[in-house]
Amino acid sequence: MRIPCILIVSALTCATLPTPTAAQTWPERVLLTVNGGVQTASNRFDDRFDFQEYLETATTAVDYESEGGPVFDAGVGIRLWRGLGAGVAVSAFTKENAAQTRSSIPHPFFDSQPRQADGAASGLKRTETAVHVQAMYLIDPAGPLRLVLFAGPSFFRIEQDVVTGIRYAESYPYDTATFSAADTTALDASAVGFNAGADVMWMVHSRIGLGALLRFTRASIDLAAPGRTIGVDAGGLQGGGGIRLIF
Amino acid sequence: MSRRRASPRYRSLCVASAALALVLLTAQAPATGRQERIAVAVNAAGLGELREWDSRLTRMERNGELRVRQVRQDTLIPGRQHDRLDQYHRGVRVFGGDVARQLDGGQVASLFGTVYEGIAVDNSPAIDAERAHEIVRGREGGHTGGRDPELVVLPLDEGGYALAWRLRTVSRRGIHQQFVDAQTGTLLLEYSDMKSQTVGRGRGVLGDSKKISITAAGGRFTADDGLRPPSLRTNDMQGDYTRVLEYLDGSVSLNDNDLASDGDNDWTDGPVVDAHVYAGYTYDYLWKQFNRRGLDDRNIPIVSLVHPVRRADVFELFEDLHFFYTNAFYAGDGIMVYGVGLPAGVTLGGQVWDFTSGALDIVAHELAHGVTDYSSALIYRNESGALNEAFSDIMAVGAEFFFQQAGSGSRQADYFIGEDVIRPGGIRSLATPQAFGDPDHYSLRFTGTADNGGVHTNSGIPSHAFYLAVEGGTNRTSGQTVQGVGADNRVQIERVFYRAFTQMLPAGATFATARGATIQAARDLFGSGSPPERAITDAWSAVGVN
Repeated sequence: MRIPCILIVSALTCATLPTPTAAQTWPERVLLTVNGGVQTASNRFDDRFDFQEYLETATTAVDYESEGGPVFDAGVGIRLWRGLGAGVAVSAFTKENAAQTRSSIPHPFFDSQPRQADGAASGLKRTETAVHVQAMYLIDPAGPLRLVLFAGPSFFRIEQDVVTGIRYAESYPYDTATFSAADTTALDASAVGFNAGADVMWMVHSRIGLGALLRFTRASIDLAAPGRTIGVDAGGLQGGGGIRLIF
Repeated sequence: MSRRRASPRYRSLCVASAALALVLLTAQAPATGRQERIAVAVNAAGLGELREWDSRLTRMERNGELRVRQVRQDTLIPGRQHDRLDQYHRGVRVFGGDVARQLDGGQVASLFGTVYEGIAVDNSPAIDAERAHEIVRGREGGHTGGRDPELVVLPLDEGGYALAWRLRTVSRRGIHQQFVDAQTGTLLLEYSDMKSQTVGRGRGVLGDSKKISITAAGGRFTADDGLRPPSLRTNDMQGDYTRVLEYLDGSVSLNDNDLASDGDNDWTDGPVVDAHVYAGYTYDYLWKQFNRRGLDDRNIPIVSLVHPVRRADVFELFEDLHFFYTNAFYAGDGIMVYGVGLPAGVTLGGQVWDFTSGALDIVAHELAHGVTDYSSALIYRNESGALNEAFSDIMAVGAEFFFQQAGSGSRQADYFIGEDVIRPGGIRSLATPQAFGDPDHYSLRFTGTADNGGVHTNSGIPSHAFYLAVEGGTNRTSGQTVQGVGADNRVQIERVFYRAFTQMLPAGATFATARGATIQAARDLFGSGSPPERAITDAWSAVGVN
C-alpha cells in the first residue's frame, strides 16, 4: 500500500528540481557507495500474551526497548539520462536491546488472586536488513562537491528476538512470584517500506570521493508469534560516511 | 565418535554434612527424645570430613569449577544464608553437579551436594545449537521452545560423560528434557519434565468451585498436596468403617489406594474436596497468622479420612458409630475424621447435617485440637478441656475471617461454629453462647460430669471473652461493657490467644490461668496498657473470670 505513495513522492521531487543541462550533467555513469554509520531508532514496541497457569489465565506484557546502533550500507547507482538515475543500496543494522516484562501469575491455591512478577530480558537481538531501491536525482556538480537525492521503496527483512514465556520462582505460601528468566525466540518477517535521503560527496580524486549519507527509511512489520502478531517498526534515520567511487 | 569416556566418581557429601547439621540442631533446640537419637549419629570424623570438603569446594570455587547460582537469606533463622553452586568443567556446566551450602555468620554450617570427578570431555561441540533443535524437532515434531539449548557435560547412567545439548521440548507426549550428543547428534537421555504436583478444580459440599492441590501420576489425580510443606493427604474410606477403626487403632496402615482420587482432575466429591482444601487453608492460616508450621510446628503430616461410613447405612450404624455421622474429630497424630452427616430428609435436633468437612470452621476447629495436642496439651476435661474447645473455636473463627468475607450467609465469616453444614444456625456461637444453651458467664458454668465436665458447654465462657475482646459489647449476664479492639484488629486478639494457649498455658490450666496468660501475652505483644491488653482484661472480667 505504501509503495505507490513513495513513487509519487519521488516523482514529485524530481519534477520540482531544475532540469539539468547537458553541460552540467555528471559525466560518469556509475556511482558506488560504501558507508558506515548509525541508525537512530525509537522503535519501541510492546506485546502481550496469555498462558494457562494453575487453571487460570496468566498474562505477560512486554515493553521492548529500541535503541540506535551501527549500520552498514553499500550501494550502486547508475545515471540513466541526464541527472536522473536509479540505484539500489543495502543496509544492515544489528542491535541488542532489553525488554521489560510484567506478568500476572495466578495463585496455585486461590482463584482471582494473581501475583505480579516483573523482570527484564536482555540481549534481545534485532537485525534489520533492507534493500533500498532508489530513484536518484544527481545534482549538477559544483567543483568537487556532488549531491545525490534519492527516494524509493525499501524491502525490509527483520529478525527480532521476542519473549515467548517467562520463568518465575515461587515458594510456599506462594503469595509472591519472582521473575527469574524469560524464554525468547527469534522471529523474522519481511515488509515493504520506503526510503528517502541525500548523499553528498567531495571528490578527492577524479574517481574517488568521500561522502556522507543521510537517509530516512521506515517499514511496519508484523512478526508472527504463536497465537498473535507483534507489530514492529523498522528503520529510522540513518547517517554515516564512507567512500565514493564513480565511473 | 570423539566423546571421551571416563568412569564418573562422584562423592556424596550428605553423610558428613548431615551429621554436622544435626549437631547444630541439637545444640540449639531443647533436648527431646528425637534429638537425642539424632545426636548418636554424630561423630568427629563427620566434622573433619565437612572441613575437608569445605576446603576442597572453596578451591573449586576459586578455580571456576564451582560457580554461585543462587544466594538466599534464611527466612526462619536470622544470620543464616543458603548458597547454591553449580559445577563447571572448562566453562561448561556439569548437569546435576551442584552443592547447597549453608552459612552461619559466614562459616559453613552444612554442605549437601554431588561433585563429579574424572571428567574428560572435549568441550567443543561438533553440532551447534540450531542443529540440536532440528534433530529434536525432526524426531517427534515437538516444539523446542525459544529457549536456547544449554551445552552441558552430562554424566551418563552407564558411566562416563558426554558433551550434550540440553533442550526442553513440548509435544503431544508431554514436556520432556532431552539431551542430544553435541558430537554425534544422537539422543543420550530423555525424561519427562511434567511437574507432578499440580492443581485441580473441585466442587465443595456447598457447590462452590475451588482449586485443589493434588498430585498427578500415571493419569490419575490423587488428593495428595505436594505444594505445601507438610504431607496433606485425604483418604476416601468409601464407607469401610471397619478399616477406619482398624486404622485409628493402629491395626492397619493406609496406602496409596486409599487416597481419594479423580480421573479427570475435575473433582466432584464435595466432602473430599473440602476436607482436602480446608486442611490446606488451615495450614496456611497457621503459617500466615502465627508463623506456625502445622499442627506440631514441624510440619507433621495431616491425614484426613472422608466417607468413614455411608449415609445410607445411618439407621443401622448410627447408634454405634454416630461419631462417623454427626461429628468430625481429631484422632491424634495429625489424623482427622470427617462425619458424613445425615441423609436428605433426616434431621437431628431440628437441623440438617451435611458432610462435616464442608465447613471451614469445623475443619479448622478440629485441626486446632492438634495444635493444642502438640503445645499446651490441655487436659480434655473440666476447665482445661473447655479451654481446649474454646481455643479450637477461636482458631476456627479466625480461619473463617482470614479466608472468607464477613457476613451471615453460606461460606461467610461469622462467630458461629458449623453453621454452613449444620443448618440452621450451627452448634455454637462465640457471640451469643446462650443462644445454644451455653454459658456466657462463669457464674453459669456447667458443674456436672457429662461431656467431660462440660467441655463443649463451658467453652462458651472463654470463647465469649475472645469475642468481646474483639468486637466489644455488653455481657448479657454481668451487664459489663467491653470496648473491643474492633474487627479490623481481630488478628491482635487472635495472636494473643494463640500465644497464650500454645506457649504459656499448662496442661491443667483453669479459666483464671487463661485470663492471666492472655493478659501477659497481650503485654508481651502490644505492651502494658495497650488496647488489646485492656480489651482482654475487661472481657475476662465481663464473663466473670477474675
